[in-house]
Amino acid sequence: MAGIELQTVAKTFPNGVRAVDGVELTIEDGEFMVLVGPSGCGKTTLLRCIAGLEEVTDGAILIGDRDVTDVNPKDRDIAMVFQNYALYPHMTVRRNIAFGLKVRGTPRAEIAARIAEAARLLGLEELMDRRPLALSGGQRQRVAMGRAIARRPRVYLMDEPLSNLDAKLRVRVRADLARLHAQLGVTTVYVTHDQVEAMTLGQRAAVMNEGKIQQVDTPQSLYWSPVNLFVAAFIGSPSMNLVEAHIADGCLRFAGFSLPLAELGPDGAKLPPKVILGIRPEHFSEVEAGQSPAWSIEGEVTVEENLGAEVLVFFPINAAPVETDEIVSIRAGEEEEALLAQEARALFTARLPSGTRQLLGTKIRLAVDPERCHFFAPVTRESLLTRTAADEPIPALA
Amino acid sequence: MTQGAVGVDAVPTRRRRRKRVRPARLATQAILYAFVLAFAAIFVAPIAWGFFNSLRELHQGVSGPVIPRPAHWDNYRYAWSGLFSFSHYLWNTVVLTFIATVPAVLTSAFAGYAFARMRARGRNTLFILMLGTTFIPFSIVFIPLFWVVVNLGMYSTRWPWLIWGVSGSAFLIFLFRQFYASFPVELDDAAAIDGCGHLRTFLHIYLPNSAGPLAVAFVLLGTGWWGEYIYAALLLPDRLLPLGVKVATGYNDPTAQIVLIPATLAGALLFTLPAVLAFLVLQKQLTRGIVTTGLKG
Repeated sequence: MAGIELQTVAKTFPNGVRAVDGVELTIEDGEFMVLVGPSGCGKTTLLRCIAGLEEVTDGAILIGDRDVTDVNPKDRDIAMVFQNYALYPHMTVRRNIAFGLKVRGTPRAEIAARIAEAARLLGLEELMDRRPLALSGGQRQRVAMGRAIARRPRVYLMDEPLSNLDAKLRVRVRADLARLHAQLGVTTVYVTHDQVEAMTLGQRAAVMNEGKIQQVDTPQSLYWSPVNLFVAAFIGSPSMNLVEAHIADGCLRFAGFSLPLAELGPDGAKLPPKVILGIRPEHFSEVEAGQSPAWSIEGEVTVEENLGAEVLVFFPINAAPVETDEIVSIRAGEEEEALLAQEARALFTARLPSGTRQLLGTKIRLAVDPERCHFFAPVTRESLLTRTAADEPIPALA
Repeated sequence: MTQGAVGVDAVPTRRRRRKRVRPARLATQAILYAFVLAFAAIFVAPIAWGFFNSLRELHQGVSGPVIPRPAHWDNYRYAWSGLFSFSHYLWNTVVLTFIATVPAVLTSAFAGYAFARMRARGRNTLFILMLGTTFIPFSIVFIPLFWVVVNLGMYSTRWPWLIWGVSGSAFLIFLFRQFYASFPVELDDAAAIDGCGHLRTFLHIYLPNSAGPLAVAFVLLGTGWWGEYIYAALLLPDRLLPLGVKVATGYNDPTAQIVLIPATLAGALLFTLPAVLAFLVLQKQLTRGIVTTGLKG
């Protein structure tokens, strides 16, 4: 096993696109590191650089203590699992697993033993003489894993290996992957655009945007203490509610609401006159009759989604949506999927406990916990107040 | 009662709607079929003509009723062993076809892989230039090629066929390039991580998955070389001649100095048989190959 060190790694393609821009990252020996970010952020290119499938333009890559920057993929002692599995279609499962070992001249007896071990670990015994075409998506995924495991490499590289599975199977395989890593303890770099995978699998996750790492931390820290607007908006589902606010007369003002800064304690004084306010949907709570919290906003529910134990309510506020480059970049991947055009007003989301009352079309008043609000500088987009990770689980990501 | 019958009885009665065929549609289909049949007849007629005439009396020529009576099946035996050793020239044809086809298909496949997968400066320009050679008419290269072969001392040898074979075929390179370009790049990546270089990736991953285009290539090029006439007639001595040339010129009555047309036709049909068989054997792969390589218009 071995750790990985990326020293100012950069990759510029011949067409001038700088896909990876000076990435510095240390992955500990045996760690499960997730590279996460929206489409086109450079995470797959970075993984391919580690694999040696792309030449780096600048910087160095170390696996263990060995500089592998100019070493061929086959000599890096890595195994990779691809998004489409990349199984050899004309070979049986057994031959697919054995191929890499054969090419390396591993003795026959050793190959047989390793195939048997991988097959037992992944429950492939029944499938050994089938070809990939005769396998389901989940089975192919297991064979791809088997091929990687049989190699006994020092590092596993996984490029969105679950994205071709259906939602139900993905959850199961995700758990299996976590179990497998705990069992094998091999350093793993896992690329995904799915933050649920990032949050559930990664011991640490590196959030990437435009070829740069924005923040590397534990999933808890990424959620509770994002260092900038991009991480805050990217991590969490539904996304953090964002709105431009200004400070006047000791109050934080936006969309006709006025929230007294005194509630923030000494932190309130650190805020500049203009900020971007961020509130996670789960940090709203409905104001009961007779309550009068210091920080509260109200709106009319235009969409209500009942998820069983909880309900998501959507309500517009009288402010323009935040349209920074980061938000545009995050939304770029989702834009094609969207049905309706972007609204002129910001649409806030709140995650509330499911009740019997129908909220659609009604006006609701929501309390906001000032301690859990995030503030970002409008120009640098950096987080203005340090938030410590709360000792409570991250709500289920919808 | 059989299970099937129970099943049928159990099905709720529902009036089956018979599909009504509109007269206009029927007329269109009839015209279409008539056109197809007429078109097929154009291709089948010469073969049928050749077959019937191959059964006439050896010195009769092609006159008389369409279907000769009696049929002289002995002409086929005569074509095989009457005037020259059919099997000797058949073997010559096999050798020439093999040395010109097998290396050409393999070289073209590898070149197609290179054009599809290997990164190199000027790759696309080279590919276009290579494709451009297919537009040079045969009549332009024919004489210079003859001159080159003679000056290289390859006249009266099979070397030119082997050299043409090793050089590959621009059309086949194009065909393989199109096919390999559709392979997922991840296969190359997986092979690279498994320890394969380009040659091993081609031989172990690409080539075994190329049954369709390989069949297309072997049939197209193989049938071409099987029936090749001009170069063979021009460059080879009689002992090395392929059957196509020998059949066309060899069935002359030694005494009457006339061409034995029925024997010639019988020999020609026998000569065609292996190519037809190859087509029938590879038909399935050929169809798949035409679909996967995008050859179909």
